[in-house]
Amino acid sequence: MSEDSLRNDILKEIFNISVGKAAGLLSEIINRTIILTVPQVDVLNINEEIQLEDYLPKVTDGALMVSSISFHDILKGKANLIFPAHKMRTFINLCMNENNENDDTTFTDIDYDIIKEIGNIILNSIVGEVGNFLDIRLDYSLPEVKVFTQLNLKKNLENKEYPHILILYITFIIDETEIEGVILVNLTLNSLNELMKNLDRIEKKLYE
Amino acid sequence: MNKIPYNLLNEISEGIIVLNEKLEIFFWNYYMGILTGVQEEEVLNKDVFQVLPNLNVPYFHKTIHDVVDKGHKMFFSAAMHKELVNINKNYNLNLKASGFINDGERYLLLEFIDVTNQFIQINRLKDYVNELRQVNKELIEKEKTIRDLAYYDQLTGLANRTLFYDLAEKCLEIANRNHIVLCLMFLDIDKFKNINDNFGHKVGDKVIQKVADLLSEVTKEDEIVARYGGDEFLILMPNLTNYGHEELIAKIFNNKNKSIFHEGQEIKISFSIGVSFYPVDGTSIDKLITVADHAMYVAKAKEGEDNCYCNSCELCTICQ
Amino acid sequence: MKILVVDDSVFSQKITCNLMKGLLTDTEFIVAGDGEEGLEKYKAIQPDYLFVDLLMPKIDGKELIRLVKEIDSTAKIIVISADVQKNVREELEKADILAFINKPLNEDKAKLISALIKGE
Repeated sequence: MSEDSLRNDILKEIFNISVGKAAGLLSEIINRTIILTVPQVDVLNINEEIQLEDYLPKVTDGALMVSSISFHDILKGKANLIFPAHKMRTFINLCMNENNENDDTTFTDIDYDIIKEIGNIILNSIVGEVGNFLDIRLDYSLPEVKVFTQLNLKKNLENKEYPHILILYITFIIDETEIEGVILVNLTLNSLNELMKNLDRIEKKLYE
Repeated sequence: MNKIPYNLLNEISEGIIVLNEKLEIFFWNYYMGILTGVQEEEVLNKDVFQVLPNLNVPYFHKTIHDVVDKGHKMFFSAAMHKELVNINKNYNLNLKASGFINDGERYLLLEFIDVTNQFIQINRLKDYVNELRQVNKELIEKEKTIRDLAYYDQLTGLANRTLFYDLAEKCLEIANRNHIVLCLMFLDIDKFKNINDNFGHKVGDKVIQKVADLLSEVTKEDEIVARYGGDEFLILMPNLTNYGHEELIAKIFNNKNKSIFHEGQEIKISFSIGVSFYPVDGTSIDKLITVADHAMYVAKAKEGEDNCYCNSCELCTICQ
Repeated sequence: MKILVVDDSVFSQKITCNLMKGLLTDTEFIVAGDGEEGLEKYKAIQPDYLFVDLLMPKIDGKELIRLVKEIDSTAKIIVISADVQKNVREELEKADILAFINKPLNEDKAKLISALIKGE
């Protein structure tokens, strides 16, 4: 997406703000400071020859946890928060403040609920902030949580209905532990166009 | 309000609250009554934060406003919000919030979902797993103890005969393949019976321990020290170079710790050492031990203290 | 009057400048894209006010503020950041900054800042 770096810059800034808000909320809930790092954004099209695996988090034990919400109305798509399973375990331990030596990557129902909540906070913030900037209101679903292998996830995300993918790389640092994850937003073609149209509109206004 | 859905909401095993835009209680179902002990009549039209003061925290306010203003759906897990949603400490509750419009008015739906059983079950499982871990740990420790008993001498901690034979076989194999010279020493404590008789078995044990420590101290990592029996020890040097056995014997004889003190008296310890070599004196461990044993008796027969005898080593300076 | 805006987002730089230009006449706006550039330009230009973003590559906002305060302890600094955590804010306010504004910057917030500046 290097054709228009200002577009990319605007997207990055939108994500920056939304991740900041999400971290703010999360830090209040778990009562710890969260250090953020500079996010990075890419826009992909699965119709072009790309290897989606290259963009997904690397996992040694093969399991990825995905929390996702759907949104629709003027923009239609799905937002996915993807963490490697063992990183998710670390995240949960930190949020629960349990000093857990548990590094078990089998997750209980309680763990799933926690992941649902974290996913909801982060994804709502991101999609919400995009809505804010574009001055539109969207309809949201409640989050779903699933475990995937890298291959299954790739298949799941390569959805012909939503060929356009925004990828956002985020890193949270809680108590000196780095938690790296990926946020993937699938958009329909119309939605991507709508998004780009609005980004251009914002860009134009800057120079008025 | 339509009677049929109203009754339905009172049948559900979920706490349901409906708020108006001003966050005042519009509806409070039967199950909320069970969760809180408070019935609808008492709370109708009251501000929800007055009725459920635990919700009065900044992040809840922020999230609720996002639900009203932006149409977000909110989910708070029981695990992360023990104080927030625990109206009653006996329950673990997940909280969902969403907005809806009825007759042009905005309303807020709060659902309190009881997951207490999940928590109980999972905690039981966790306890069970911890118990298993503990039992497993103990089993492993017991196994180790049994293994140790089988292979190690209780008094000194040195390898016993069984372990020695095991290790020695391996060393012989390696020596055979690589054409190396091995050296076996048979070490006997002089007049040990006298020490036992004169000073008692406790002192005798102390002497054995002292000797074991001494031998461990002067030998290298790859050299094997074992207690062969009563006051007999074996030392295997798996790769003999340059009269290394002379050096070792000298170290043993000259060691400062070669005595113990008992009731103010110094009891000196003296050794007789017999030495055999592989492959010259034999190609099996039994043969080597036999030869070294005989050599030890030759050494014992010599005059004075600290004697050694090598069966085949003609060039030895120590044991002539 | 000279104002230096340090932010790694060109978009954010422009928004800040555009909003503030409308309210503060006769002011020159200079921009820098990261903490390092920000420090250099600060030394060279010696602006009246410094607007800083926290999350930047190379030298981040917090570090830049520390270095600027070493040069001039009375430096007038306004933080405009996406990081909205209370502890972060409290820590920075100890460093004696003029204001801590949460992104995104809008007209209301800009008016607040201009009032602060004019009131000085």
